[in-house]
Amino acid sequence: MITAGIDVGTEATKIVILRDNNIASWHVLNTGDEDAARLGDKALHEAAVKANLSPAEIERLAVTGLCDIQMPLLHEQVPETKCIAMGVNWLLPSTRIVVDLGVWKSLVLKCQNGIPTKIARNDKCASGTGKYLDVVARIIGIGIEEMADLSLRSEKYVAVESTCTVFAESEVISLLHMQHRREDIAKGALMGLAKRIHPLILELGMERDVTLVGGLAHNKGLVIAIEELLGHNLLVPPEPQIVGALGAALISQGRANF
Amino acid sequence: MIVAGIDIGSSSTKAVIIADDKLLAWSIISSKPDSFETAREVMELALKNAGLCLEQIERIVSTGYGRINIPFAHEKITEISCHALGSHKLFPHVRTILDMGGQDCKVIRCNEHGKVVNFVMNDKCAAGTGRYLERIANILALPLEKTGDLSFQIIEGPAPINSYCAVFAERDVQLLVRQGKHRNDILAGAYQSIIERIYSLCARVGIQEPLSISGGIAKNSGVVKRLENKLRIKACIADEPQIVGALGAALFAKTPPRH
Repeated sequence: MITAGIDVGTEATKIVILRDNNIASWHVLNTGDEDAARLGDKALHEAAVKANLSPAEIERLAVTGLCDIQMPLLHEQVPETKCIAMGVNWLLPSTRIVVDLGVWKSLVLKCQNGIPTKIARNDKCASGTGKYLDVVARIIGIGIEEMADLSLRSEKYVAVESTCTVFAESEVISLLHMQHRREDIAKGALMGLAKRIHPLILELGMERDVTLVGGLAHNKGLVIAIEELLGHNLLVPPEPQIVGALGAALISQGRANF
Repeated sequence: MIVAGIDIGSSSTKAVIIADDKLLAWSIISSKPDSFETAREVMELALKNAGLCLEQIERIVSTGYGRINIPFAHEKITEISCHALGSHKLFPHVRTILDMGGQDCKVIRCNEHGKVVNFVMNDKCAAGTGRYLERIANILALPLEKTGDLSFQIIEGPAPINSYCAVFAERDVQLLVRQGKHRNDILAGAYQSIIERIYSLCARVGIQEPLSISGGIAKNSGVVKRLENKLRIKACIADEPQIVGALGAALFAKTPPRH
């Protein structure tokens, strides 16, 4: 059975095409580049080409995230919490807690067998989201990817104390002025972000394994920072950004329950 | 007895020199990342305005955010107490003080002697502080001082900004601009948002009249008029509302050291 799942984020739209039990292809495009009516079609087309399929061969399609795209094939809209839990369970079945970090949100789920059982979410405050890192990286004068590398060269991190992203910006300007090393400030900012996420995990009750997904999971510096706070390793799937879309495609296959 | 007070803020630093009860001189400068340097500079400027030198100042009290200890200050007193005393000096009957700076907002209840009886402060979240307005003004490429008046010149209606967070609000504003909303309407929406934050803070300690408003925000008609309307109160505002904290600090400098 060939199904597709589309996960529409504020910044990026992700699509996965599943053929029976294999990922046939996946693709990521910028949400902002297309209007809602064409976004779904474009995503489907790109992914189908990669999978050597024609879009007509896709039998079912589910959409998650910001669901206001229009798709003729659309069979269902599924909450992103269900999609993430399902996708992570397929990739890393030992997962009991999923941390999904995006540019504008952080979401922590407790899950069992691919079903979310508890949820803690922040999509109201920029701290604890990728935006916080964007802002700090901009002040240091580097890209987000460089931030991870810089932080790995830190010997002694400089704490970024401000819980607010706006105030953290001023604080980092001060820290730079005080001649602290950029490596140590980068590490401080990553620890600051990790410290915003850690309470969400504790709120749900710590249980291993903890898996990190979403665009920010590519950031090795962030992974290490969270691991330092948790005191153990995090799992990160090879393509952490497509987990929601994968889950949507799985749900489309009718795998609602194991 | 000549004394001085220095109020080190995140956006601006202020110094006031008084002799007995008379204001001799004051100064305001933008805060630099180096707080000590900023304090030294603002003090020098105030001394120059007064025609005095540092040795003629008998005691100096510092206040304001941050953990900086100014070497030439004799004592550090909380900004809450300084704002209460300073406001009381200017408006002896005042019972509630709203002070909003670049990075904080506080509502202080005081008694007939200018002593603090209750207060609430937000210095953790940029929503409801000067920064919120600064950032939105920045995106709209407008100087902050112009935004208050513009916010009343509404074209279609205030464009609502639903996000609480100053960073998310920036994203909302960018979207509104892309949607073709007029910047006056966007400003109206932004000012409405910040009034909600300030109002919530006020509600936590309650307002007893008379109310005075101090800090940079007191010069912003966009905030003052809306708040006065919402509270149905006419607020007392000093000619130089930014120096109230430094004035309070100077008044504390007159009294013997507190332990």
